[in-house]
Amino acid sequence: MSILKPAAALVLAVLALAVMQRTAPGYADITRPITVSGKLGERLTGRQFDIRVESVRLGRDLVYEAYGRRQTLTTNGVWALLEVSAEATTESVSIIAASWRAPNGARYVASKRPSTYPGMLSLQRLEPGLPKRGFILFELPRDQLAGGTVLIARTEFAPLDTEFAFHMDGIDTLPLQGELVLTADD
Amino acid sequence: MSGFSALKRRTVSWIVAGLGASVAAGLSLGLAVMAASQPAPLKIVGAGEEVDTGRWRVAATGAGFKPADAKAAGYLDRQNLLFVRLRFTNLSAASSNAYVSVASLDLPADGLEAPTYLLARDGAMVFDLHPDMPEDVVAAWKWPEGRAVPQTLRVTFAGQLYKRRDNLYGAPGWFPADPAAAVDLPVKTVAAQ
Repeated sequence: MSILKPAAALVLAVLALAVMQRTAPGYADITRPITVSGKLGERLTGRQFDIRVESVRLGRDLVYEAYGRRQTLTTNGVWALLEVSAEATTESVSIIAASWRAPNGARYVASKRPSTYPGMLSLQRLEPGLPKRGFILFELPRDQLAGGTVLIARTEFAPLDTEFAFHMDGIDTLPLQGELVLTADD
Repeated sequence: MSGFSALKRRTVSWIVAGLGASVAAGLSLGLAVMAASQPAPLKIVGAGEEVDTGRWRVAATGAGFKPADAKAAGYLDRQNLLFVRLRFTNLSAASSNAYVSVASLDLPADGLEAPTYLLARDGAMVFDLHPDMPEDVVAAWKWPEGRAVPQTLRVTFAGQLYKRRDNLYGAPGWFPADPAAAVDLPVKTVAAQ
């Protein structure tokens, strides 16, 4: 009888510790960004900038001109080219983090390959009152287009800062161009 | 008297708890020492055979040496290059450039600079490799003028281990693990273009 009580207390303590260990939120949960959700074409406002995904184009090869040379980038998936407009709210800011959250849960970080093309959004600085347009480019497997979400934040690690989530409904029905030409005007 | 017996009971509890913790710490240390003293033999795979390193599935399909072409336009083509053809598949849930720490050359007195990674299909620089999108790449090491080129090359693949919570912040991440495997490749000299 006397041993039952401490044994039960021990079992309870072990159980309580196990539950605490399993349910304690991790560092990534505690510091996760605050999501602002919307759809393609919708303007969303966050702490430091607001942004709208204007259009999406899909292609097999990406073609652009930089420093007078024509460059062609190939992929073994497809290129998804987003044209966005963005504006800083209170102070100058650069947006360097964008990723595609695929339906299988994987995150495809925006491609840094056309690093010499000045129209990429990550190379621009946004100023309050001066809206700017820029490109975000993803390299994706064809089967991860439908049901994807574009996540945009100021930096890759943005604890408790705004993260925009644009649901890309209907993107898989867009035509797949052979050559996707990177120009701001079409 | 009852105060004394309570103190005695508490002392016994402390000693028992202390002994338990000591046994646990000793056991952990002993197991770590045992594991370190008997390292598992490095697995040797064949050319083209895929290896699961944790974060990447990788295969080395060939190695070669390309002498410098002084008249070439590209900077790399003007260098002596020792290269290894690799095929990477990102097994993790996010795009990453951590493939650069997977393949290393097992050379005596290795003093080579870090290699340049190029896409095999168009010769472009490799940045991130994306989940579940296998890519053939070429890792090219600048080879010093006058240094003898080896007949065969051993390439070791480093392992990487996922921790749901690391020991410092409790944040998820990938960490270095034991080498996953090695491959021996004959080095074929190719003509400069």
